[in-house]
Amino acid sequence: MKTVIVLGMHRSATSLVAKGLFQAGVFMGPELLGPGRGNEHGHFEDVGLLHLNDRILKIAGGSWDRPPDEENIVLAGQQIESEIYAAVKTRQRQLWGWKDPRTTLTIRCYMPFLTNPIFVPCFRDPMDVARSLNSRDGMSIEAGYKLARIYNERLIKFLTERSKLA
Amino acid sequence: MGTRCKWKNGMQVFSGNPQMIATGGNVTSNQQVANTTTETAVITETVYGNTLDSTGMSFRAYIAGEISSTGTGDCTFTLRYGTTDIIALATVSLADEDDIPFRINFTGHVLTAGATGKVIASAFGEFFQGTKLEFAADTANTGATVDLTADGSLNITAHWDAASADNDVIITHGWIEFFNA
Repeated sequence: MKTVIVLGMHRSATSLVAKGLFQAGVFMGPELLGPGRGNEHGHFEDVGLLHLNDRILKIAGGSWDRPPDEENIVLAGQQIESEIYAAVKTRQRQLWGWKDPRTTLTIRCYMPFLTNPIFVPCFRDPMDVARSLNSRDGMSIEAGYKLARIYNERLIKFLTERSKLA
Repeated sequence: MGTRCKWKNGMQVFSGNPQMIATGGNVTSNQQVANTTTETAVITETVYGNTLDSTGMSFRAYIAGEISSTGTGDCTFTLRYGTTDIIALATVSLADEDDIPFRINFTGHVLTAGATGKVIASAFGEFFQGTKLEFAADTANTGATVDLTADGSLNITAHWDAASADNDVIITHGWIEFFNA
């Protein structure tokens, strides 16, 4: 079994990558978030895991655009670890995975339950991310840049720690 | 610098190790130049001798970050090959603001390879000041003579005209890429 997880900041082509994985035969979830404003070709996001990630972030005292501390996220994950375990268990296939940019923040909550995780990190120029968020959500450029910076910092820290373990 | 590898389409023959200066929680990995007029390297990449070995080869150096200012004095970013200045770009006139997002792209080209090689470059910076996007550019660079046969390094430095606790720049992202002719 292999688990392919797309990580990266919002507006960083994670949907494009997820679409490629989906078309290549990776099971990307039982219900995928379809097209929407700012993403005409579909998000290819697992709706169930999106809601689960929102829940983890909320328990941790934040949201996708107000990332809580990593420690609080891990503690939040522990509070609902049975739900996380069940979500993973019901999705598992020989080749499966998911994409939701929030997972860049919550990935540590899933790690105990994953088999052979493979990470696909996506990176986009943070200034372009900020502009895109400004266009889609009206978020200020300053706030968008800071948010991209936090996601990228978390992503690199996580992957760096993983590479040291390997 | 990363392993040299050729691509069939001839677009890129090698790539330096991308340096993304951003690590979660580890703020010491971000490159900060504050309250000083001392020139400080914010990104460096080794260039082995004869890597840039033919006319038309190019590189792109990118930095992005946040800059705060008292509103007086510029911050100048300089692209260097070893200790030789290739091009320098001063910020736009900064307002008295905090955490202005910015990015700068330096693009360099080899005009002449060899021990008395010549490299020219352009620089383009974007600064989001308040609700305005402002640009700074230097596209009239006459280049510099450098020894491209010897091991060296490309680096970007930053320095302020005036020292102040509020004159503060943090580089959060950056990398240098090399391209074939």
